[in-house]
Amino acid sequence: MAVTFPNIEPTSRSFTAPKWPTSGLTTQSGVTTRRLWGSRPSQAELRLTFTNVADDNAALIMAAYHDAKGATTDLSLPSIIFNGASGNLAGWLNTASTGAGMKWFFSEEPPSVESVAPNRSTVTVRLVAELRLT
Amino acid sequence: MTVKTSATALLKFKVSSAASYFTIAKVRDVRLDISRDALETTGIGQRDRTYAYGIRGTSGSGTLLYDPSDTGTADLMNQILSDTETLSGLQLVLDTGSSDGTLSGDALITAAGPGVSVGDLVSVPISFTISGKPTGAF
Repeated sequence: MAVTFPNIEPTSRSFTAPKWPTSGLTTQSGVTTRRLWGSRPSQAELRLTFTNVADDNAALIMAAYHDAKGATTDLSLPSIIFNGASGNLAGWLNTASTGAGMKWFFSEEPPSVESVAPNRSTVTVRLVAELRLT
Repeated sequence: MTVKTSATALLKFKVSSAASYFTIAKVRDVRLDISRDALETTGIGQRDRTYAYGIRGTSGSGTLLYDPSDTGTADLMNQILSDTETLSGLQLVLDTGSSDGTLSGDALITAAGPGVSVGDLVSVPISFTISGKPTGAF
């Protein structure tokens, strides 16, 4: 069962679109041929930064990471994560427009918490969207 | 209650080993700046910046008139030459007729630059930084 990511608005968001499974070959004459090996892209990446959030909110993110057992359990991302993006763009950012099967997970890189002031922390989270069978 | 003037204001100093503050005899001007950081918390979906309080910092500056016979003035100026790592004490009194308006703190004297011009008094611009939260209230 998916773990719900905390309902906290990020202060910055960086998205890298999923990659298509292709391989290519460039011949000596300079001609490139490329082969598509699947029907769906995967491995989108979402980098979220929560700057100067209250420590209790930072703790919610750490709890979600713990509940998800790192990169094991998929995440349910609230719409607040995609605030500021138009509806059309949000569909691509949350991978809904990419097609079924993509799920968000914490990446192998754990969240980092930088304490900046009493009761204030900056949390950096890296998520990946993967195609998984379960 | 009336608006206060420089006539009711004092600047006091004590070296770390002193038991009490010495009033600095001649102060031309002094300024105490207390600020708190504003930590930006603006979310990506917001159109207006939002902030939270961060860390407070206190520093100040002023100008003394040089009087070597005055203990407070000499102690403060000599602090810049001292090798001690122990902090001094600085106290700004805004109203000598009231217990309010007095702020004190552990001070680092960070600059003292005596200077004189022809036909003028020997003046000593100073700068200081308060370590920790100042005690007292306005």
